[in-house]
This record gives sequence, structure tokens and C-alpha cells, in this order.
Amino acid sequence: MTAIDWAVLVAWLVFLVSYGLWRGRGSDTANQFLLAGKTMPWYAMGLSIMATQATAITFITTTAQAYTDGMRFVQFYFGLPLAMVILSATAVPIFHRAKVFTAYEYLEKRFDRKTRSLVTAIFLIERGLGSGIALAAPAIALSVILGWPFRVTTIVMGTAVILYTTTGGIKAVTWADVQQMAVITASLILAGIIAVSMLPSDVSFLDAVRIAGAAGKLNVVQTEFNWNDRYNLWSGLIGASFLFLAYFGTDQSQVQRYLTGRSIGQSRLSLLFNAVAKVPMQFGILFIGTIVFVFFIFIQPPLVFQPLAEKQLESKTEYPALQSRFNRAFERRRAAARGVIERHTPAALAEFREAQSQLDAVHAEAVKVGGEPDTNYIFLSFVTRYLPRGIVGLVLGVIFTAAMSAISGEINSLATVTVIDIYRRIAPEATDRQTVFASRLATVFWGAYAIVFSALFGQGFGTLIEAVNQVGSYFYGPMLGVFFIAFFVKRVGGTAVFIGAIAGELAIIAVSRFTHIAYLWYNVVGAAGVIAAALLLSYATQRESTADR
Amino acid sequence: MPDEAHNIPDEPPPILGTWPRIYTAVLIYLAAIITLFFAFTRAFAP
Repeated sequence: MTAIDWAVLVAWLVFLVSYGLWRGRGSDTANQFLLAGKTMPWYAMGLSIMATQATAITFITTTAQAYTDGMRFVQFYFGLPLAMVILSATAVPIFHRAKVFTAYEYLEKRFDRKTRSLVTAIFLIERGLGSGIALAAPAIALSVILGWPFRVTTIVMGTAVILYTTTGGIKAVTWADVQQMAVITASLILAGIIAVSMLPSDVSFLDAVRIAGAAGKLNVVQTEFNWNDRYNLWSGLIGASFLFLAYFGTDQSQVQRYLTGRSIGQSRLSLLFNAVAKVPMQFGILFIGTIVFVFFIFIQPPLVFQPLAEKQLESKTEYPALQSRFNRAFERRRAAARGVIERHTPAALAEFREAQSQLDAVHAEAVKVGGEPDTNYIFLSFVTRYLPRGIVGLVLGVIFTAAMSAISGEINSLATVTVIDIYRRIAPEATDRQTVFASRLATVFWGAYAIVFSALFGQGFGTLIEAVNQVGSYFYGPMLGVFFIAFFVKRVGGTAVFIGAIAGELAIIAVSRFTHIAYLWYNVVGAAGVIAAALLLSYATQRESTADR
Repeated sequence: MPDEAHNIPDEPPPILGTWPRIYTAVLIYLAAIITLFFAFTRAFAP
């Protein structure tokens, strides 16, 4: 990183925190601090919802996913517009009219305390774990790239988030997110344009797309149905719909966003904005990943992308032979790619795919010898090595603040649930001022928790990150089932739905233990399990009470 | 409890007149974008 890049990075971080502090001023009542006084316009809520989802990991791993696995991950987002339409028609007006601060507060109004407590506990466990990971995962990658100690990176990011979230509450979080989304979008477009412009002069944009297609990277829609396949059209449209219904309909980190709307219509528009914008945005991010893949066909990539693993590898006895094989495999693939551009014949295509397999095999061997997986460093490596001065600092700053945006949303929602669903029940007579103070204290607590959790355990997360990404699917299905009953099945009471939630959770554990079904389907299993068990119980108890009479 | 909560008004959407029409438009958009992506996949399949 050059001095200009450092200046851009620091300036962006300072601007963002200051802007958050400035926009969050006046958040001195509970309604202001937790719901922004219900004054938010749709575009601010919509961009904030998008920013909370667009974490640093999204940029680092989504581009890498396209590089290694192609663009099929975009199918995961096909369920999002469906979910947004359903939630706009149901959850948005219900939550608004119930005048609640949290989604779980509504459950006590509809059922009873124990159901509210159960779902609150599930949220705090799941989101609490998530906040530590959301901080740790990008901090690991950024600390390697910036050369900072991991714990320093964690503390810098965590402290900046606590500063503006504690001061300005959700208003600060939302308006900071708006700025972030604007710069995130601009820098992604810029990175894509630069990647295309850096291709050799005799390789056109269409040639690049053709090569990506030849390598199987443009597998955007896959129509074959397979229960065990994570990303295809059907798991996206059905399995992911359930995940998004649960995420946007029952997870306070999202519900709180659209509860800040000045009207039901504004809240609906914020969700429908995401329904329209999210799929093309993910397509764009994945497409940048494929362009980076094509870029590295013509410009030789490092043997491994992880800088520390690269250094380790260089000290190993296997290194010279590996590097030499890698060089040969790279040259062969480059020539084969030119063959694809010039000839378009099946033979040229076969040669390219064979050369690609050969290069992949040498790379996999190098990663094994280097001892560190390098997938998450592909995009970062491209940014730091090839983007112009200043832009490197901007893109790294954006990745930094994308992480901060996700964390701020999480600790803000954790604090809200802690205050509304726990503190307010212990101290129902608390004044507005005491509630705001408790909210600020809870924000500091959850921020500090995320920092400590990340600093202590973050570096051991290598494989855990994947597992934690799936944790949501273990919990979201049952939460969705509970809210489905709450909204649509009036005759089912609290006890039936409480037992149903436990049954739904057990159903997911059984499916994950005894089958190989992809995790997106857990959401369907969990929701269906809760609904079926609660309806059966309700029916049985009603028959019993009728028989008693 | 905080007291600034006021009645939340519902309102018609800025375009197309009713919310169900907006929802239908979003679903048509989704179908169109999947079709477009499918055509893209087929056009550049290896």
C-alpha cells in the first residue's frame, strides 16, 4: 500500500464515523434511538438493509466463489424477491400496526411470554455468535493484507462501530449504511471496469466472456433438481425463499430496519427495492469474480494468493519444482485460451479445459504445501497488486466499512432485543431516559463482546466460518414457523407453538444428522416441522377439551 | 414506554395504483431476470 492508499483508507474511515455521529444526533429518546422516531424514507431503509447484508465477506468470498465455482451462487438470491413480496403484504403491516420495537415483542402479544422468551433466546445466541464472526472473518483477511496484527484490526473496526452506534442508535447506523452502499457500488463498478481495461489489448470484452464461459464459470442458472446441491434454480426459489422469509421477517437485525419507516408504504418500498436490486447486484459482484479469473489467465497469478502462505511456501524444498510446474501450466492455459478465442472449436475447448485442470492441480498442491487456504485472498490479491494507487485504499476502505456496517446492524439489534425483550420486562417502570441509557450500555456490551470474542477465538475460525454461515439455517426455519402461525393461524395458542418450535428444531437436527440434504432446505424442514407439530397439538388439545365437556 | 409512536398510515404505492399490482410487477421482473440469466448461461455454456 502506498501513502496515497493509506490516506484514502484513513480519510474514508474518519468520514464514515463522523458522518454516522452527525446523522445520529438527537437520538435521545427510546423511540429515536431504537426506531429513528419512525421517520426514515424508503431509500435509506432499503440501502441500509442491503448494506447490512453486503458484508466484507460478501466481497471477499463472493468474487472468489465466482473465480473457483462459477456464477451459480446468484441462484441463492432468486428467493429474495419472492420473500420480499410476501413480507411486504404480511409482516410489514402487522408489525407496524402492532407498534412494537422488536419482532419478538409481537409474539407475547399474540401468544405468551414463554414463546417470546424462547425466540428471543434463539436470536441472541444466533446473532451474538454471528457478530463475533462478522468482525473476525474480514479482520483476518484485512490484517494479512494491511500487515496489521489481527487483534489491532479487530479493535479498530469494533471501536469505530461502537462509537457511532452507541451515540446515534439506528439513525446513525442507517445513514452510515447509505453512504457505504453508495461507495461500495461505485468502487465495485470501478474495480470491474479496471479489470476489463487491464486485459491484453487483443482480448476484447466478449472474448473474456467467451473464455469465462469455456471455463464453466458462467453457470448462472442450473435447472437440474438435486437435494444435495446447494445452488440450483429450485434450492434458490424454494429453499432460499424460506431462508429470506425468516431472515427478513423474524430476524430483528432486519425487522428493525423497516420498522423505522415513516409509513407502511415506505417500509414496503424499502423491501421491494431490495427485491429488484439485489439479484443484479450479486450478479455484478460474481461477474467481477469471473473477470478477475480471466485476468489471471493472461497475467500470471501468484502460486498461492495468501501472502503469508506464499512466504512459507518459498522456504519449502518443494517450492522451485512447484513454481516451475505452475509456470508451465500457466503458459499452456494462456495459449489454450487464445486458441479458444481464435478457433471456437471443440478441440480448442478441450485443450483449454485440460490446461485449466492441470493448473488447478498444481495450485491445489501448492496450497496444501503452503498450509493455508487462499480462496479468500483472490480478490484482495488482485486489488492490492493491480489496481491503481488511491483506488487500492478506497476498495480496502470499502471492505473495511462493509464489515463495520454488518456489525453495527447486528450489535444495534442485539442491544434493542436486550433492552426491549429483557430489560423492559425486568424494569417495566423504567423511564424513557433510563431506557435510552440501557440501550447505549447494551450497545457497548454487545460491541465489546464481539471484539473480545473475535480477538480471542477469531483466528481459529478458518473452517468454522462455513459452519457458522449455516447456523442460521438451523434456527431460522423454526422461527419462521412460529411467526407463520402467529400471523395466519389464529386458533393455535402459545403452548402448542412453543412445543412445535422445539419439534421443528429436532426435525432439523435429525435431517442434518441422517441425510445429506443441502442446508438451504433446513429452513423448509424447520418451518414445516413447527407448523405441523403446532397444528397437531392444537387439534389434539381442542378435541380433548371438547370431549371433556 | 416511549410515547412518540403515532398512528402508522398506509398509503398507495407511487406507481401502478395498488400494492398487489406492484407485487405482480416484481414477480414478472423476477421471471424475466431468470429467463435472461438462463439464456446467458446457454449462450456461453462450454
